[in-house]
Amino acid sequence: MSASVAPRAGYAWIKRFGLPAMLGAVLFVLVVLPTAFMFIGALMSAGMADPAAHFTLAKLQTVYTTLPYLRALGYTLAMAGGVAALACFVGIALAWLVARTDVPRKRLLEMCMIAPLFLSPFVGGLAWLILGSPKAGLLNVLARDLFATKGAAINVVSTTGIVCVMALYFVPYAYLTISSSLRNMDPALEEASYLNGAGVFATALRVTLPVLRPSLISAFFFIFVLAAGTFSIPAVLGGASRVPFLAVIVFETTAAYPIDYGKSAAVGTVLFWISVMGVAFYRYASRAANRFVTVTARGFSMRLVKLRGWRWPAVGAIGVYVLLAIVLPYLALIYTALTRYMTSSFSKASYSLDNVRWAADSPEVIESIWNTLLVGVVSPTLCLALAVVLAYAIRRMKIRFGRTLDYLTMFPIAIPGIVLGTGIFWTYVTTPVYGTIWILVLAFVASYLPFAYRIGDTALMQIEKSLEEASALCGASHRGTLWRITVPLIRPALLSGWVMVFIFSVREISAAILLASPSNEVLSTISWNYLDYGDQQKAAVLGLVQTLILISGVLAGQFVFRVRLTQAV
Amino acid sequence: MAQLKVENLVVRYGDVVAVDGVSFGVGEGEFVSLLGPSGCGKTTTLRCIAGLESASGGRIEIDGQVVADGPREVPPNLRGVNMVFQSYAVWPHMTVFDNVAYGLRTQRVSRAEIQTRVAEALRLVGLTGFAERFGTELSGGQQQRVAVARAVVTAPRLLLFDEPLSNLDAGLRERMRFELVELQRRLGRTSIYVTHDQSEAMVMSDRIILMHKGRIVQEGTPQDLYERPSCRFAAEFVGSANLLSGVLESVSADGFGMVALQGGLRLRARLPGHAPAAGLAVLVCIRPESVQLAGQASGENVFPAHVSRVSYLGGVLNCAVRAGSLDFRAEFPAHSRMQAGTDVDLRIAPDNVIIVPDSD
Repeated sequence: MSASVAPRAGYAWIKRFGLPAMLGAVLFVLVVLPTAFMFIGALMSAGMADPAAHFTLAKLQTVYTTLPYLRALGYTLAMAGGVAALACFVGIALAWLVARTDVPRKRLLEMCMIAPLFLSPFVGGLAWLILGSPKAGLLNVLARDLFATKGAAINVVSTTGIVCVMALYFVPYAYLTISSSLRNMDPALEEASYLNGAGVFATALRVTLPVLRPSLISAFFFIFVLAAGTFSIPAVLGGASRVPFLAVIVFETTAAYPIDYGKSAAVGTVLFWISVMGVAFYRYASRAANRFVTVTARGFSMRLVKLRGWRWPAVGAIGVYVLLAIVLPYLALIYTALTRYMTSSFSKASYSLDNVRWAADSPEVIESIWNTLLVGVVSPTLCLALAVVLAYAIRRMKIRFGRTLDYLTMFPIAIPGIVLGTGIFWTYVTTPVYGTIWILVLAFVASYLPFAYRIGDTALMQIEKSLEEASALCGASHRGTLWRITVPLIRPALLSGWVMVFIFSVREISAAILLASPSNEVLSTISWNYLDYGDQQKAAVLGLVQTLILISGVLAGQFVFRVRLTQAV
Repeated sequence: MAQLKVENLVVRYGDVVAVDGVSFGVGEGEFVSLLGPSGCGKTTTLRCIAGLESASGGRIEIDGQVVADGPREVPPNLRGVNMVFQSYAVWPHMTVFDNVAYGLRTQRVSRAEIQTRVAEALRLVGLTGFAERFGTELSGGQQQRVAVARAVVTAPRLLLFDEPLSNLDAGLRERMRFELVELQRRLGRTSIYVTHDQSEAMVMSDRIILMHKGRIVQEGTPQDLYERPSCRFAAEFVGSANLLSGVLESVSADGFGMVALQGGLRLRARLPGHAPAAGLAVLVCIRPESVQLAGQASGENVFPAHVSRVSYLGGVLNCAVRAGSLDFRAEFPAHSRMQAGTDVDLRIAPDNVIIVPDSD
């Protein structure tokens, strides 16, 4: 017996370095290569396929020192800051109402408030273009019909408009961060303030808000990074008004004349530095937030502020948010999908099912639906599988170079989708993978690995280590323990992670738009193409189809797999 | 005049009744404990008094002012009460000084007076010199002191304590008990103290209100509770007790009677105020420390017994004793050098054979 378990020299070496080397290689391909190639691309005079391409500092110099690009940098920082501030402000108000007052129908309200997370910001941007563009925007048409106003009542095709529409879709992130801090906060902190004579308003201002400050700051930077890297809404709304936004410039320099791939990569590096700095601030703030949070000894239900006469105005305020973020946009999309062309008045609208019929018949659309579903199923599956192996190897097996692997895995959180897209474009443009659907899978797995990894890691930390140790003592190998003990125990977390990456992958546009070609279209990219041609009706139909896929995914998660979606994001 | 009057307080959460018709009063300057196991409704009662929880029914009066009567409620910030929380609730973003000054600032006390009153409160709890520290930089015991200073500095009409010592380690807990009592006596503030620790309640209180399943079980001085438990629960919860069933054989005019315990032992016992009639089954409570070594083989309430097991607890020996077929526990001083297997003669003074009236 003892002879068979004696260590063999070669096997021991593989055991020590085999797994770290394998995981390292995977992360090298997913994370290191694209980042490196983006920087290489920024130094190239022309695309990889061009034989005359050579190294040059010209692109970086232009992007980092000349006025149009510095102006875009300023706009991007200011707009992302505005979005984050606005989203945090609305988020904290909504979170306070739900967590601390007796506003009715809380579960329903909360579901409505986080619903925009499961919808596509691109489709939302498209809907707001339909609703609020200065001439043909439905709200402006309605205002002219009802009140005979002249000119535009609202205009979303402006810097302010873009900031407001983006903020609508980032409010749920702020809401979730802040409401979880509110729940973890010791209610006695506020009760002590009441008993010391302070009223509701004074307590909120002098105790609740200061205690929440670190988590507010971390929510701010989280949203700031996401907003700075967002392509969809600024591209949809900013195209006409020429609002300079870095993420849009990254795409435009590869799509419109004069095409300059090097410049696109160079702009990508600027965006990359913004993200890296934002993430650093975010990490610093969330560490402070964890130190600040005081969990109670006993879970006593918080004394709820009685709103009395303010109950319905409070519901109304939440209702306005839901109206702006969900109801109006989808009404507009449905209306547009059912009309033949944009009209100057609702009374003259010509309803037809042509667009729906077109979508059902067009081979291009059908192929893109299949592609979307394929990407939507394959990416989360690969992503979660890799995340679980990484988390288990790093946290439980304590493999060598664990810290480095952990760092590499979390690194893509600082790479906006459009930047990662640029890097992957430069890495693979000369290989046969380019132009296939698999390059999208590659991009999405890399992009969402940090989220999946974080979920897997948290779940691992929550299960008692002795459960796994007992399995080892019963004779199971690491692989056997992972498969038979660990995975079944963290299944709920894995399912929520799966649904989350599914949502991200289906609605993703920023990485996809750079890697799209006629042979690997997904719903978001062809919808963008039709919008770009000015065909809002077809874009709307495609947006609705995409939304249907998202909703079915979310509902399946909720009711078939019993996923708790507030934990997923 | 009663400083606090609670009348028929009821708190319901859906179908669960947390507090079920509780009424009591607390006099000026009195220190009263609400004692009971977790889930007995004591903390809920306290939170209703503070205004942190809404009662489903009943009336609460503080200093003659009605603060809760059915749906009409005075919010907690206007009740003029203050509380020391179990989790201390020291605000992490403020210094010790700001924590203590908070209540005075909401009362718009002048700056100079705040300085002197906060300094005085900090001196009282032994935290002079800590004013500029932040709450998170303090140990649990120090945070507890900040919480106490913050509660007394506003000169509240009622001082409420919600299990304030339960998060401290054992040694510090003992010391804080005496410090808190000392402080309360010095300030003379009417205090209501919630705890599940019977020895804490015994040491600190003028009066204890024992609660169980949302109702008041017994109310009285610590001595009353210990010597005259009103029911099985009271006898078991306060101190340790041998609870034996028996029959009251006869009742004599001098307030004593004879009980025949199951197992054959017959003991003379002092009867409670309204004694059950002779011939009825009763519950008899004998504290382990009331069992004495008799030193002689005959006399009132003297009986032979066999010591079957001895546990050494330091100051005392806790012994399993068998008399006839009756098993119970007895405590002897350590210097008695009791050994397992010894046959002894025991005595229990008739005053210490306690008949528990209703055996719920």
